[in-house]
Amino acid sequence: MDNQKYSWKSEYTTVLIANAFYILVFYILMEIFS
Amino acid sequence: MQQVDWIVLIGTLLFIVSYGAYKTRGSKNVSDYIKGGSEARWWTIGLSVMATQASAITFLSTPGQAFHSGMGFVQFYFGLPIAMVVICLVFIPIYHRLKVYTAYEYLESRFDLKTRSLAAILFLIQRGLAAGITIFAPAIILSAVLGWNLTLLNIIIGVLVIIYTVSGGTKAVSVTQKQQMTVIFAGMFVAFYLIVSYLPEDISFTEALKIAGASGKMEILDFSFNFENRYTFWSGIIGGSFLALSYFGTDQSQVQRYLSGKSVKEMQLGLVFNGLLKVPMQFFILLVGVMVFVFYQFNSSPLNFNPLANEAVKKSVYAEEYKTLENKHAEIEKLKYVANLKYGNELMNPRLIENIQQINDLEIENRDEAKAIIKKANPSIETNDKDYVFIHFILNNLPRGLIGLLLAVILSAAMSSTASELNALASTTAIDLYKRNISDEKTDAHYVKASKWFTLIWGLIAISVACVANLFDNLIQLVNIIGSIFYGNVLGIFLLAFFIKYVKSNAVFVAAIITQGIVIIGWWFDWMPYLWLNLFGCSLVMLIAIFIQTLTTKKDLL
Repeated sequence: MDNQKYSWKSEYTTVLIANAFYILVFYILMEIFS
Repeated sequence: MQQVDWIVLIGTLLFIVSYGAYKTRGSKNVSDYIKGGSEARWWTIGLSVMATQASAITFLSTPGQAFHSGMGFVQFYFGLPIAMVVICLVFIPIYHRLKVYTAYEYLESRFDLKTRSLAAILFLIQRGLAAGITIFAPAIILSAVLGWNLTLLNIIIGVLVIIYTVSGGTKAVSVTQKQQMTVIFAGMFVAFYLIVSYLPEDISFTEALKIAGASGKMEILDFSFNFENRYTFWSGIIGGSFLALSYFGTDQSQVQRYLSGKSVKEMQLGLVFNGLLKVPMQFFILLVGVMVFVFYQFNSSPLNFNPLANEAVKKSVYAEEYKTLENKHAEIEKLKYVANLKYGNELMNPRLIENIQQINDLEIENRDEAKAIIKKANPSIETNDKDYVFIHFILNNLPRGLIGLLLAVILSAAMSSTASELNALASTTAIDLYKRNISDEKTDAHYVKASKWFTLIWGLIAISVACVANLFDNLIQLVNIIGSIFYGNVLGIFLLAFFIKYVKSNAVFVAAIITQGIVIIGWWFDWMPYLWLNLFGCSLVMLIAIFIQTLTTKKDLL
């Protein structure tokens, strides 16, 4: 693909970890309030 | 609506429109008009991307969705952050390196002119219709609850957007979207605060969440593999990534937002911003809906939130039958009030939860019976009232001035999405069709003028679609179907371009034509629910293109 390497940045890791964290918070909220 | 609401509403909208038009007047060249001079910083891009996706229906429908079905809809957005990362990693560096104005321009450098033009035309058909619906969808709801003239409202929303989008192009869209998002966030936070403050004195926010949970509204995650459930963790992660990738990566109305960035880094940070905020934002809007649900556990609500439905049935021969159901509804509300108040003061009592659930079942049964009667009274009326729940709450409970602010929220959202759509439709028409195929040796000023004319023409088309939309049953669904028919094919073309270097232009063009034919046949004969046509079209175009390319290569070798 256009002979270029992908350049991973720490911001992408932050996005994915933050969203995993949101899902964990949703799980905890669901456990507490359902 | 009081005078002060009108002042807040008209003042807010006129300020945004005139500020946007004044601040961005006089674009000198195409780069200024279509890419906003490539000056946008990451927060502007992030807000612009969010404002484009969040239409008025997001703020009208989503709280209603939570009111009826709970918080599970948030799972639909779980794939979005993954798509943001893929676009930052793959799409943005290529678009930026090739200095494209539109996503489809890239297809010419990778394949050829005919593939580029095909993708551009598919986009114009789908987005041209969708722009009309972005105006029509909130207009029909507001005209129903406020008694405003539907056609006039369509024209007002459309004309306001045309004024600043024609005048300032992409920069005007971004500048106004920042203000629109400020109004939207301010309005939603105030609404949330007021809803919680309207709960009975001895019910705290935590107790309100428990009350919502007792009625099943806090079931946020569903890890089952049940295809019958539209919103599960898996459909959100897999289907959501796929949909977000096609929308943010190949739809010019979104691509144009981040192409206006100052640098690759600003574009990427803009999408990272969206990837960080989108899920919490949707969670918050759903939470507003859940709080509206708790509010209506202690306050009376109509049997059906759509005022036109109530009016139609009350004028029909079924009025008496409906009145009986309304009386039953009032009785159920009394039971609901006592049960929820008791549960709020005596949490964790499983017997009380059982009692609340029985009352809920009774209420749902009664509401369903009401819907059946409404349908008998007038088969063409919308009985699904989820779009009317939040606006009913706003109009009947918020104080003076704030009603105007919340209406400004809804209209700002409609305008911000429509502006991005018109801007993208005009850019694609000017760059991919007009400049490339018809007139490619004119001055920059000529193309700016042409882009302005195309913005105006697409604006008029959108208003016309919005004005005739009411004549067709289920037009919104029709537009979604048209989107699903074309989206998968276009995404497949882009994925081939990015990842399968082996496939060449003729193979992809023939595959795209064949796929489009098969997808239309598949939709006509109802092979699958229409949302799955996205995945079907994308996979099919990729497989056919690889197959044709393999055949051609072998033939050449022989």
